[in-house]
Amino acid sequence: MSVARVIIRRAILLFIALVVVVFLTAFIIGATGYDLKIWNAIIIEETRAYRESITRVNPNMSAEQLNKLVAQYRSMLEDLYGVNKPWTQRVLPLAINVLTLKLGDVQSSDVANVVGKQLPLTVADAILTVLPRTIVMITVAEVIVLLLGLILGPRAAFKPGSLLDRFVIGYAAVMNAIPLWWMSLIMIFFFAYVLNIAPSSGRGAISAINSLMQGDIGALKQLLYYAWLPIVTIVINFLGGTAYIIRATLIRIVREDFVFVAEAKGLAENTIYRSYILRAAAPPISTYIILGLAGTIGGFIITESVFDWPGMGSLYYAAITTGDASTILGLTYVFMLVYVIARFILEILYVLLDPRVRY
Amino acid sequence: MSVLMKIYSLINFIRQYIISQLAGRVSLALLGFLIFMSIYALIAIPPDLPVKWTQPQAWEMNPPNVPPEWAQYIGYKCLPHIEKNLVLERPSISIGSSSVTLTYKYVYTLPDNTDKVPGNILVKAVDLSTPPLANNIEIILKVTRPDNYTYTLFDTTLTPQPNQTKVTTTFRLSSEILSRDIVAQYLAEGITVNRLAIQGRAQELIFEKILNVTDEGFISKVKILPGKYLFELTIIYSGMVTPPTPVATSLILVIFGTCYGFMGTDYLGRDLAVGLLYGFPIALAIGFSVAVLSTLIGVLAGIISGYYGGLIDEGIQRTVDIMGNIPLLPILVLIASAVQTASFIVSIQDPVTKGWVLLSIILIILVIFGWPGLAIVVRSFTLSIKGEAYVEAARALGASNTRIMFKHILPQITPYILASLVLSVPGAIVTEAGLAILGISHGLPTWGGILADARTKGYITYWWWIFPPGILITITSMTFIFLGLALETYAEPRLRRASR
Repeated sequence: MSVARVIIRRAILLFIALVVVVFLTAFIIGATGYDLKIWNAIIIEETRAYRESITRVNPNMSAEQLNKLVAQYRSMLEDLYGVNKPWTQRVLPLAINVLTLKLGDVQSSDVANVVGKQLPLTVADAILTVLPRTIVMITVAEVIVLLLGLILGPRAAFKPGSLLDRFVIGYAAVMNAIPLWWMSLIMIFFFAYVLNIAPSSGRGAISAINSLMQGDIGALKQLLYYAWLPIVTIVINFLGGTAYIIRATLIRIVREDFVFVAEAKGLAENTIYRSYILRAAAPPISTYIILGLAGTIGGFIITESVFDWPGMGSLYYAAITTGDASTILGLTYVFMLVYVIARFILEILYVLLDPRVRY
Repeated sequence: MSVLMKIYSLINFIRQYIISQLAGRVSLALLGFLIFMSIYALIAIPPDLPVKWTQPQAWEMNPPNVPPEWAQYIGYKCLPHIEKNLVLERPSISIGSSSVTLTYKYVYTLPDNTDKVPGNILVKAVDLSTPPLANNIEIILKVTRPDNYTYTLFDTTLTPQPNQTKVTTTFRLSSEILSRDIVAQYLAEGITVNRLAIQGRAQELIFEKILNVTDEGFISKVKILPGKYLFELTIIYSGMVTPPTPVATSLILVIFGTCYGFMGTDYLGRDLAVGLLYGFPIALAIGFSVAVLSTLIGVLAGIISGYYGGLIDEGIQRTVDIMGNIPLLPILVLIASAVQTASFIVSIQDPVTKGWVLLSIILIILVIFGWPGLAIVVRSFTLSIKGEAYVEAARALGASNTRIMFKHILPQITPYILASLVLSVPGAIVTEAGLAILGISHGLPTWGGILADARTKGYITYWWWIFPPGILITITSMTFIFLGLALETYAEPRLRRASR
């Protein structure tokens, strides 16, 4: 009973957070007039469709009559969406549209270019098309980072002050200081231009992934050709921080009194590790892992655009630079949705992993 | 006395906890370097640099996209950048029946082993006198090459205005006039070259000899022509027989080099050394203002939340929960790109004011999203300290809530707050740079801004433009990360044993 209550309480809180953010977003883009771009694009699109449908049904209509009808329809839409009203009245419909996943259409051909398709294209389609590309590159890299971190971190934590431990600390400090996207530029400089062993643009990955999805396993090699440099870069840059955080989490637990007691009792080292340390370390480490993985779904906006990798990040970048408001809003919402879902999964995990949460 | 005591104890603290560790020593040295560079930048750079940075014409005398001068030591062949003030030379003057002609000469030597030629040639005239007496003034720049070909680089006629006796202007190459001369010279030798083909690369052909042309007259082979080039700037005042004195404040003949300055230039010819130097104080200001403000809010919120409990606690904690569930970068990008198009920003005419307003908005958002993490930790510290006997005692003695919070609880948490403050400095610097890369740019000379230009306006091989801003961002971040590491062992005694 109480478990369900805890989870429901958390779910409600997260849902509120999501709604608050969406309203906040709608509020911001309303107050700055950014949303007019979205509504006007929707109106243009719908009047165009209306005009087409009339000419199809009634090809002999005079141009004057047609224009009059279209103008009528247009002003009806303008009233409906409240384009002429103060922005405060548009916030609610905009927020509800987003919350119900009515994300609208992509407006810029640059954005469609990243997707590898032609306009017209819905934002939802665009996101669903590019999402797998981000997963095969960024998420794969993050998984490698986490695996290596889970190997390095504990080794450093159990021998504090050892060579490995000091290496982990120093490596983490240096890598935390280097922005990933800048390191990406440098890696492209060396590997694509000086050594010429990697592509300077990841756009070619589109065709590789497309043929891979049609079951052509041979395309894997082609995909690897495009993906190896970004993956290596992300692993080098992120491994330090990940190993350091896992080490820091474990080192705090290793020094807890209950571990000393267990040692004093003469328990086997393995038992202490499994039942005392890992048990206590599981919630914080799983938080780190799940939030890290969730973060990759959104793509790394800057890094992906540096590598010209046609994923979520590049889509976002193209939307920002071309001012494609509906794509920006849609992507922001999807990012937050993924994040909130990850948080919810964590809440359930906490309940499973940590008995204290239940009561 | 007490001030002295405080300084003494601060020095003692630094010696005991920071200098004793390698990370601490490195960070202090780097911090000293950053502060020194910032102060030097503020003294050495004129305060109007941000304004100048947004004006392309302020940098027109610099060669664009060239590496620094020291690149010659790593294998680049650098042509020197020439800025010759011709007014300082004695002109040859010839007086005609109704005109007077002044000719300034300059000999430029193109070295034998060069693989590049000067990218551009121009003349910048400051306060060139245009007396109303003159009917018109003709300004001509000619060059005589080692092979005795003579090309006209530009031929401009100014008509004096009655109310203006001086003009400041830049005379640029005219590829039309130049290509006409080139075609004529080769034709005299019996070689027919296509004029359009010449016009496309007229600048280079000043210093090159065409060896071969195709049947259609397109250039198929050229060779750089090293040797002495005689530049002649002629100014003809017609309608008057005595030259005005002075002719101009300065008449600068600029022959663009292929290397420039200490750090090279960007696509507008802006001196990257100046921009990068100016980035020091801005980066520190960005980092510190965001870190200090968000730490302040976090500490206040945490301590109040933990100390008072009840409804206040609930309110603050739920706010923290919601803020913590918002991913920062997407929302930051959305807000910033929306604000960029907002009418109150667009209506600001001055690009520098606009830049500062935009930058401040970004920083405010960073502060708003920066405090919740610290608030949680401070709250939990406060909760445990609140129960201590000495806090009870203070309360029994009638100490006010504010006094207990800030005199009894806060000092206990200070080490942790300090470490957290220091560790949060690089975040703002890196995020600002990242936003600039994403095109949310304010146009001010920050490291992020320079890197963003390198991405959009430059080319990946322009290493002098891409490497230094990133290296500086990295050094700055590293300074505070190392300092934070040193402070962390002080804040967390359990970690102290680990580092020894």
